[in-house]
Amino acid sequence: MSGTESITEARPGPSAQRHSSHVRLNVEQASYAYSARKQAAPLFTLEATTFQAGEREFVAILGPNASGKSTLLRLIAGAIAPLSGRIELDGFETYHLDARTRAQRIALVQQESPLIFPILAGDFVLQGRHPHGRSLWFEKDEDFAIAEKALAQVGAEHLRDRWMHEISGGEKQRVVLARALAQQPLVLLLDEPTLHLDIRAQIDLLCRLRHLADEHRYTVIEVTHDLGLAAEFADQIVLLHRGKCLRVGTPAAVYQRELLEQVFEVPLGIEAGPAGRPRVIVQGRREEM
Amino acid sequence: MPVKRLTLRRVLWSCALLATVLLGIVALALRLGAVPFSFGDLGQNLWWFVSGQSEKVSTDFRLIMVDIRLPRILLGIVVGAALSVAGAGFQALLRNPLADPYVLGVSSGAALGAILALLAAPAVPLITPAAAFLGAAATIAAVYFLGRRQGQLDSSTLLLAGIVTASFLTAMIMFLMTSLASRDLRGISFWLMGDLSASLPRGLLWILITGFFAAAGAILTTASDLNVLLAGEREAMHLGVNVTRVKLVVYISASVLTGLAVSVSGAIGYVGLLVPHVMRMLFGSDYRLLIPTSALGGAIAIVLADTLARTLIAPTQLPVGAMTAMAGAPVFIYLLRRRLA
Amino acid sequence: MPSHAAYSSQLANMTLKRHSLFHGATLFIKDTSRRIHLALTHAFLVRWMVTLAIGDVLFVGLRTGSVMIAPLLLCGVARPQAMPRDDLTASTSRIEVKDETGRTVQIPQPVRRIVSLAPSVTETLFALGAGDRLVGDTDFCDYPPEARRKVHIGGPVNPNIEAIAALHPDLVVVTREINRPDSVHSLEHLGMAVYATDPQTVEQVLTSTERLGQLLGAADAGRLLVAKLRMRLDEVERRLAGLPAKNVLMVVWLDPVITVGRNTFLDDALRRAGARSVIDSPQSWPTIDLEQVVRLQPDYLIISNDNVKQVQRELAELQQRPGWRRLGAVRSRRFVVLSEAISHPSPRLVDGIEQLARALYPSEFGTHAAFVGEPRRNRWKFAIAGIPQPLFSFTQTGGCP
Repeated sequence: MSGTESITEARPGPSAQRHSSHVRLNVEQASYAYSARKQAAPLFTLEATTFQAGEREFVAILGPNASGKSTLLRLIAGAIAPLSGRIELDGFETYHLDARTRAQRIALVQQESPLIFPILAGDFVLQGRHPHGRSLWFEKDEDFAIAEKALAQVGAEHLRDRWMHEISGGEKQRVVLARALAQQPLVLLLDEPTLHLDIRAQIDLLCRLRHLADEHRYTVIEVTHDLGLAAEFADQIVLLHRGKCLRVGTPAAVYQRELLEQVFEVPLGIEAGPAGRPRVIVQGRREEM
Repeated sequence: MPVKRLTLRRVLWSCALLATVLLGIVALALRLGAVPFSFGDLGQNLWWFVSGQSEKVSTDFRLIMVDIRLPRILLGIVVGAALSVAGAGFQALLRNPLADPYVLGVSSGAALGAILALLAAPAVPLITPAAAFLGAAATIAAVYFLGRRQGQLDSSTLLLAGIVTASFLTAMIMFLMTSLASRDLRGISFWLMGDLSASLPRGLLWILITGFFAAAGAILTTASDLNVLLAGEREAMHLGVNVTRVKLVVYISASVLTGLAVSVSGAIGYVGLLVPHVMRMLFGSDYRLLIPTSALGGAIAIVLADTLARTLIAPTQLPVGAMTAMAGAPVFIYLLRRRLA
Repeated sequence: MPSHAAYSSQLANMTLKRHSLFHGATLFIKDTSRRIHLALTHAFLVRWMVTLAIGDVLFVGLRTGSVMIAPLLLCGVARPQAMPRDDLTASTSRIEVKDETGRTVQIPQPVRRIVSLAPSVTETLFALGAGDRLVGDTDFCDYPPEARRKVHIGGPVNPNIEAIAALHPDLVVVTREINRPDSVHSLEHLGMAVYATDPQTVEQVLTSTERLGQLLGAADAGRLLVAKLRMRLDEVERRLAGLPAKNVLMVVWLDPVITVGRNTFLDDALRRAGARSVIDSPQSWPTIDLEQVVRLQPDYLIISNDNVKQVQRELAELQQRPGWRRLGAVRSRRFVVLSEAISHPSPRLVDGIEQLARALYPSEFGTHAAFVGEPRRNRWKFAIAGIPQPLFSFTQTGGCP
């Protein structure tokens, strides 16, 4: 595997030293295997992956479909236990935290299950305060304030009194992000957040995430297969291909033409863009390589 | 600020409102029956009881009111509350608005238990409720083990397992009833349709009440978790809900509530399905408010239905289940249309 | 729509007063031409349950005229069935007896107020001369006519416990055949004495009647009554001595075909009347296949029913049906339509036996065709669709013997 580049290495970027040297999230040789039944051959394996992320850092986990991106995200979120290796958040293994504590530190934004009973967007965001309550609790004023602030951060205050099933996809995505922010986590995980959005909404979302990382010290980890936007916004790229982590590093370091063509199996062109971020050029129809 | 903020005060006020309505219905139910009493009679006798002059209370009053009517009304309250809370719980557990307490086969198991008891030893008093509860408990265990997937309860698997078990048990019941054709099975249909007329000993009533508060209380502690669970199981897990534990608690508590209710009164239909929905329309979907209001709403519904059932064409008694359906459906339709308008 | 008269009488007949028709597993609604068509007619259990329930509901549905009543109306609905008495009957003494199901019952003596929870019990009580002591009976008790004027306490399956309690009975008489153990337990729990009868043969009907007479302090009346009944039975037996029994099928229900099994009093009554059921089943009310009936080819079909016109229509219809036409009894119209008497385990059972014997062996009894019973009036009380026929007391033998 390609070497892991140290995150403290200086990178080209508009602002100087964007992150502290404190490592918040440490993924060390984490691997996972999934099989339909026990003792059967694994259907899918995620091989040992290592990377680290600190605060104010935007990491993009990149790869084609079925490369293990979502599995890696779930490992980080603590939903499943790694087969080997460790995933630590501020020194604690995420899988071994109890659900409530974990939810106070890690928030996951994913494709939503359909809602059964109608709910107002405001109440929906308020559910993000659940990890901070006890059983049989009622929300206090500060919970409402935090939820309001979360909505403001995603620019969705006007949606507060609307029903969730009545708003558009992009607006729903923002409300879901607001719920994640209401959890006041340290790490924000997003599973293909730009999937169903138009280009404007995509850029809007990623700008907000960038802003959240910069100004509010979140660690943002996004799973995506969008090469261009990942290069534009991420500080660190983790490149996965069929369960293997091929490279971890800055966009400039990871976006090598041969590597990307091997992973995505299409002809690509890479050129340097402004601020040292690479730009991906699609070369037209696929020809025999 | 969201429009409807839920506070403890709002919960208490809503419960107080419903409790008042319940008291009114109870007073009406006490007054009506084969032997009518006026409100004046009621008041006077109550005063005599309270002020220690209970010897002034006529034996007739004591017999009719205290021994027959009051226990029946209390039974109706407990059964109605249990079924409604169980229905609300199952709707959250199975993530299905059409779920009712009987969808997982508990009532069929109870019915089978009761039938076997009637065949084996019909003369033993109280064997019917006891055997019915055993049948319910066995069904709960069976469906639990069938409804698991990778070690934990899975909503869709549970639903399928429950439906299959219910069908199987119903088929067994039908088989027994037709092949045996025993005289002692006469009247089982009245029980299967829901019947509150059995005069139960006080001890049993206390067991019921205790069981109700224990199980409903357990569900209430998971109420805020259930709110989040309704957004999706994965989402709930990432919001700090211990999904496995919550599902197990709700499953067992709701099934126990159903078993208790069905063991003593047969399968009264529609209450567990309709009352939570009506309460949702009136008070919102928040389970911290829905559980207590469903309990009170169910009590109101059953006492009202039972009063109608026993006074409408007195002395003939109608099955309570028929009354709950006939009364509940129009109310539900009205609320549904009002909401859509 | 048939007339209300027809239906009212149908309903009366259909329901619980008929031991033969009222059986847990059978269907109440006996009407080949106008059934209550339920959506789930083939779901046996549901049909049974619903008919049992709806039977009662529909029963008086027209009488009240409305189902949903505003709470205000409730205040006027309750009809007092009995004035509450402030003094309990001072029971002087109690005797302990074992009833016919083996339970031990403490009966206060003397018995002044009786409640009956089954039509057959009502008939027996009146026959014993205790009718004036009967203070409450079921909705379905209609024989003798005085029984209808008594205070009603609901049906046998769903008696109104409160109404019974309000009557302060010294004794409540039930039967194992029709009444529920739950009702018995509830009544006992409230301190009432409940005596259960359970006659399963004709002889047991007689001994049960005599025993009941002793319990009620009418021992002489009971003995006399039973002696007379025995005499009549002996007479029938004498006339039928040496004659081979005729193969019959007692049709309790037409679709599916339900008949009587052995160990029921009805089967015993058939035997006493010189008939033998072609079906021998351990079940009390077996459902049988039409194929089987055709194979067994009974000589006569026996129907216990009361509405003349209805039965005639039904039987005429039967001849049109391909399956039934294969029965010799149907083709040559060898039907015997009896009054309800035969289906009650009460003193009237002997009437029924005589009626049947006369119909099957007219030459031995010197009569032919119709003989006098009591034509029943149609019952208006119960008006709803699709109910079996009310009472009819004519014996109709068609065609050749």
